[in-house]
Amino acid sequence: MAIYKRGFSQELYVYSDPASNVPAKSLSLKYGGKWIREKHLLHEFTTTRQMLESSIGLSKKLMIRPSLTFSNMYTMYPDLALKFESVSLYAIYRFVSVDDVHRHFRAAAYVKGVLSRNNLQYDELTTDGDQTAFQTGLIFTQLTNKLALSANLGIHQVLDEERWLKYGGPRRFGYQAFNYILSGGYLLYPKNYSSYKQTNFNIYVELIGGNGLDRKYSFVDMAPALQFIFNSNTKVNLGYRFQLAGDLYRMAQQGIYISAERTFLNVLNNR
Amino acid sequence: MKKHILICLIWVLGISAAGAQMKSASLQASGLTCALCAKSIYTNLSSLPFVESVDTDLNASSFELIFKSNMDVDPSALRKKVEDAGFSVSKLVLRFEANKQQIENSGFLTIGKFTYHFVQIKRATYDGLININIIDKEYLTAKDYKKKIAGVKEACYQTPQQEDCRLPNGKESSTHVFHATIL
Repeated sequence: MAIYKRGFSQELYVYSDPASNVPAKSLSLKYGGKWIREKHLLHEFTTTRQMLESSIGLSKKLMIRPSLTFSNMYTMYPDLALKFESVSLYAIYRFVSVDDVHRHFRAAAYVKGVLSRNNLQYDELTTDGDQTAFQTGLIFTQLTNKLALSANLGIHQVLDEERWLKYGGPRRFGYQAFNYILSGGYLLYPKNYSSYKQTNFNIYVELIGGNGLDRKYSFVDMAPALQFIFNSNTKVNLGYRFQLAGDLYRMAQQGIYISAERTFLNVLNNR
Repeated sequence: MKKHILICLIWVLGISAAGAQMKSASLQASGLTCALCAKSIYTNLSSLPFVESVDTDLNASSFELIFKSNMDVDPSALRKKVEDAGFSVSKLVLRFEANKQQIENSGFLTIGKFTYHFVQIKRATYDGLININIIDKEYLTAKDYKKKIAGVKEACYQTPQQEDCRLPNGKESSTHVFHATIL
């Protein structure tokens, strides 16, 4: 019998999703915290967004993810109180899956809707809770031996009521954007697996970009990240995101992101 | 002459291995990316009622299963559990305790509720543990399946409903038949 030299590729990206889902009938709970340094004319201060997500594998192909965010990014200085900010629902459907030993190619379609309390204040359009919006797109993920590459291409539409208000003046911000994320992941440790209890260590680099479709702007950020997976069920992620290039008005050009996620396998079985 | 009649009878009726059963299996999964992914397959396989225990080789992404005695082993349930975890089966070898069973090429064997159609084997009397390799499309990599298509003569191999297989007496034509070979 042939002994395969195992190439475990990693696609559990920190800033984006691969075209794979959590397993059917499984649940994954995630906390995420983002911190940025806001530089205004007279003040400079740190603000944060706190996120809670639950990913639910409805079937092997369909996953949904309701989430909540709390933030002080849109709270007036110097109050900066953390307030409930948004709810969202993300659904992803994997429609292509070509598996081979030690490699796969997958494609998935997703849609995410966000209901936010914030008003439009920046060019940058996100699905993190900044605006009431939806985004729909495609994700393609290829694993080849130790490298996992993924592309996420999405169209973003702001659904803030401001979009339909007719106040005569010029539009302050755009309402439509093309957003993309190009991700690469690599497993550093262990070189060989011996048990489920081994800690895994992965490194990631992602390019996160956006182009305004109505109001013209563009940006591209780079986001290196580290990931530890404990006991084959708990992930801890550390990421730093910074602007490489861009001509947009945004809240901050850099930020750190810390998240922790626990997966509960096969817990929604036949109930 | 008697021998020929017997062979014909076996061929028409198929062989029912009553009471006999699958002991264990080796399952290799494909498309895996991490120990977390293997764990989801492990958890899913462990949840099957006929599975006694699962042992994982993480480096080969293969799983060694021991089955409970006196329970029917359903290969498609194993496959479904791997697919529910988000991956595919690339190899499934079931270990069956044969008791002087004569199996011939293109012959059938019913083990519990499930019927196996053997191809690419030599007619022989099998005794002791034999390795039954399931070779249907969903149990192989795309590459291995292509190779099998080229090698297997039986027309029914590629048809999902198995209607073209000359089934054992008393079996409906819609009976699911697993195509297999003996390693």
